Amino acid sequence: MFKRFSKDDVSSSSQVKSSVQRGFRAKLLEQFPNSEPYLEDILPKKGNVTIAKCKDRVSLICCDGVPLFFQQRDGHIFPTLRILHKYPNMMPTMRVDKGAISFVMNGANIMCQGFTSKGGRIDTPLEAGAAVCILAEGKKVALAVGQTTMSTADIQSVNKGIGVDNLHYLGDGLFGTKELD
Amino acid sequence: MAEFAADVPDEGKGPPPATAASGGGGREEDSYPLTIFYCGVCGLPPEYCEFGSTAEACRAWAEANCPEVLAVEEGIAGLEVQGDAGGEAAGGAERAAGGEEEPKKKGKKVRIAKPGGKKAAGGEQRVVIGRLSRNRRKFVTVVGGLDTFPDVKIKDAAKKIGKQFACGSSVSKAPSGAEEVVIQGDVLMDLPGFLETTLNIPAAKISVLSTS
Ligand SMILES: [Zn+2]
Repeated sequence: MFKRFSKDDVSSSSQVKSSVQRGFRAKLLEQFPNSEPYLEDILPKKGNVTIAKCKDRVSLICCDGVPLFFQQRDGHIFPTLRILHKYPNMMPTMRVDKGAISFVMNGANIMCQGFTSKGGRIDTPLEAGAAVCILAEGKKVALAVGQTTMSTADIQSVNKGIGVDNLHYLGDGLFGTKELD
Repeated sequence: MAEFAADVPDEGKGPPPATAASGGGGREEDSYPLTIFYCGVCGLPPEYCEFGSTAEACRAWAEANCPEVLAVEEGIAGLEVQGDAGGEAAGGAERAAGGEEEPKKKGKKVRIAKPGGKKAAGGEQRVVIGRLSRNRRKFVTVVGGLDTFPDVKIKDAAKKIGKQFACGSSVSKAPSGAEEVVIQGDVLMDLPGFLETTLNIPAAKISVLSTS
């Protein structure tokens, strides 16, 4: 999604009305109940919140120019990795084995075997379509942000094909974009 | 883009919080946000540097700027290898180290100083070619280090390149003072061959930066 993303891919960026901000906060709390104590830190009420529109109907929610969350169409909201690194417990996690790291950092979606092999781990049962933070064997900080394509139960039982869509990963364009103008 | 310790203030240059370092992903700590370090060379978290394209340079940077982080990380890596992951992890590490760059070797000369950098380490003859994007889908190709070859006239080279690829090509001064050729267009793939045949620069002395 953000493999070759750069500042130049933002087609328009606009201020967010406070009523919309409130709605957005409510949605965040609904999707990330764990983030409740830090929400004010992540997205301060007095901050200058903007939405940057990018191609494929992807929008970035920024505060003072720093991308915090992204969303495709009206779908699930995902935090950027830099936010996730600061608040690692806001999302459920899954862990891939060591061998998968280089593929994930190339933008590949994650195969079920990456989670079911020895170094992989599924921490919480999840439904299909859930937002998940991808950790890696032997590493402390998150490797990627993804969305499950099947439930974790299916990932374990089917154990074939793509289990998690890789939306945002270390080294992609969004990770490289610390700030928009 | 090679800023030091990307997101943290200077005084945060110590090792990451102890709980975060002691494995388990730092989940037990209560005070968020955690302070996270990013490598000054590639911008990734240091533990992922070995997967980047500048592993060698990263290691040198970490040694120079935050040896604590390196030490912490090595400790963890060591534990992991003996511990749960066993042989598999070791195999993975070896595989990674067996690539063209050897992240685990210390004290090696840093070839590329910055991702966007063009200058080779002092005295060495090396041409570095990189590509930068200019509003959306347009590119400029930047060639640095041509001035390390005494028998290459940099202005002539720029002219020849412009003729060959039918695009604008000029000499400009990099911030470091070195002269580089800036080509309006994406000729990253074709340029090494051209430099080899026309300017007699051995292929071994040409490095192409794949990112940005
Ligand atoms: Zn690095």
